[in-house]
Amino acid sequence: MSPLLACSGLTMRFGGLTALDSLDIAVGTGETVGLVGPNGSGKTTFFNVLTGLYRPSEGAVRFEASDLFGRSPQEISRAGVARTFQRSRLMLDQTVFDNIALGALGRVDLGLLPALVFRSRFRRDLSALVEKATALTRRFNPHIAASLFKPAGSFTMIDRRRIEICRALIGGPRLLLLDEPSAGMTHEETRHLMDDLLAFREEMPDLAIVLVEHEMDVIRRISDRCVVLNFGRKIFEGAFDALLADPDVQTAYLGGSQ
Amino acid sequence: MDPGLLAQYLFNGLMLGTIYAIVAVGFSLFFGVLDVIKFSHGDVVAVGAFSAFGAAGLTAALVALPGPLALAVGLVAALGAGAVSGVVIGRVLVLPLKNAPAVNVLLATLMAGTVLREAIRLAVPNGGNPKPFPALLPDGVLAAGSFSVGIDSVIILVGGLAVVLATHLVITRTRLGLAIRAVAQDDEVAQLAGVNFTKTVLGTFALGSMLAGLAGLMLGLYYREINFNMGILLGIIGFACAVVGGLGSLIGPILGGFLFAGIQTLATVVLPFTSAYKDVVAFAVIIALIGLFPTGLIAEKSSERV
Repeated sequence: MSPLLACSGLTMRFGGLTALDSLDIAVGTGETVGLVGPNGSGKTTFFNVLTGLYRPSEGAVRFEASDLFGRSPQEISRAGVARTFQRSRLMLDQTVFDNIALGALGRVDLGLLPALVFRSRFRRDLSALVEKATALTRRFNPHIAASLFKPAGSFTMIDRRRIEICRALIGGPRLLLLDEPSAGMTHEETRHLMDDLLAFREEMPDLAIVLVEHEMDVIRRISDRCVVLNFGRKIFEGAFDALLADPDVQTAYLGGSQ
Repeated sequence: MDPGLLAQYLFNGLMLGTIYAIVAVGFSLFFGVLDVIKFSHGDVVAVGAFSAFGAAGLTAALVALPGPLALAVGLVAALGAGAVSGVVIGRVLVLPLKNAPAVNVLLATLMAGTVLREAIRLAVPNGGNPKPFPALLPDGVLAAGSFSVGIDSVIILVGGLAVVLATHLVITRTRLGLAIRAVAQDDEVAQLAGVNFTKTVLGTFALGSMLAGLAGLMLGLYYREINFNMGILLGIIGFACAVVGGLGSLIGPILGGFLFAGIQTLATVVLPFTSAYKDVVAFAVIIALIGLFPTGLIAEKSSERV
């Protein structure tokens, strides 16, 4: 069976700096891959390349049947790849609903005229979207669902991250990229968020996830398989237990012995 | 002072405020989505006015249309010309300079404004002189004591306020509005959510420039006279209103528009001998306000980095 996402020889150069060096990464349907590596090893660059924010220098990216190499962010988003950010990037003065609805916007035309002319269809679409956003947020935190029309800035850090994940999920992606969901959170909050993630992964068994994380506990609990990057190269791929014992990984994190 | 006369002043102030607000909102929209100042905006007002003038004149020469239809022709011409010039300037001048310093866009659009202005002067027969604008609105006067106001002015005021409200609804209640707000806040996130960046930016330029075209029509209907360089002062006033109200916000420029007209009116009422200098007084107050509120009365909320 061919994987959902297959990157081969993916390379990203910024001038003389090679941020990603012939990376081969495959993710299967419903699989959760933990992406680990020291700071500056290329994890976020990989996400930025995958989502079209950066145009890769070389390589191939296949997603389902389509070629995503060098495509624009909106094309990639419409193909079914969604992401969250290490630092929460919400419209804080806008409502939770508007923030989440943005994730579904790419799937419908922007047409102002239809919105004015076909009022009943527009209302139906809108109430369907409200329902969907309510269902999605309720799964994470009933409190968010109850205050769907309050500004996103009035929520706590963990709820903002949940809102961001809902924004990524509402478009029905096949692949979700989570960039350090635990960043800026307490251990307690991280645990809650992990419970959320494990719960919705169970509900959406076909959704593939790539998770960048520094908290090894999170990686251990949630990922089926781990990939370790160092200086833009893949230095390890396999199960979490083998990761800790791997000499290359130890060298990357703790320094060489020689 | 005589209350009727005061009401008269108030009415005129409201009317001018509405027109200023409509122009200022355009500046704010462009700044919101792309962080650019589009200085050709004032001249798009003149393009709108002259398109309505031309279209009304041509149709009147061909067929005798009843009043409302003639107005509709003028309206469509003003909105259409505004939208087209906005989209063309956005596509040809502003988007290609997206990653250039903001000064480049400012300069390029300033020159585009001159091109539009001079094009009107050359294309319209005897274009250097003021042109009488056709009376497309019904005549008649509403009077109460010493207060009297033309029906046409009432229609312009109500129409203008309705347009301001409609713009607010488009921004807050529609998909295009959500896309505009998302691009204004963080264009990367918007694109990653599948928003078509180019389409949204051009949609914003079309929307803002339609407003400018409409303002041109309103000015023509109100003063019954249009001039090829009418956009210069109006562009500067609109820009000042947007800055003092808060560039990037929607309510700010609307407030700024009414504020500017309010100061002008107040100057005329309180210090009648300054009426010839009402723009000078208004700009002086605006300068002082900008000094006191450097980010505008309603500051654009920047995204909080945690």
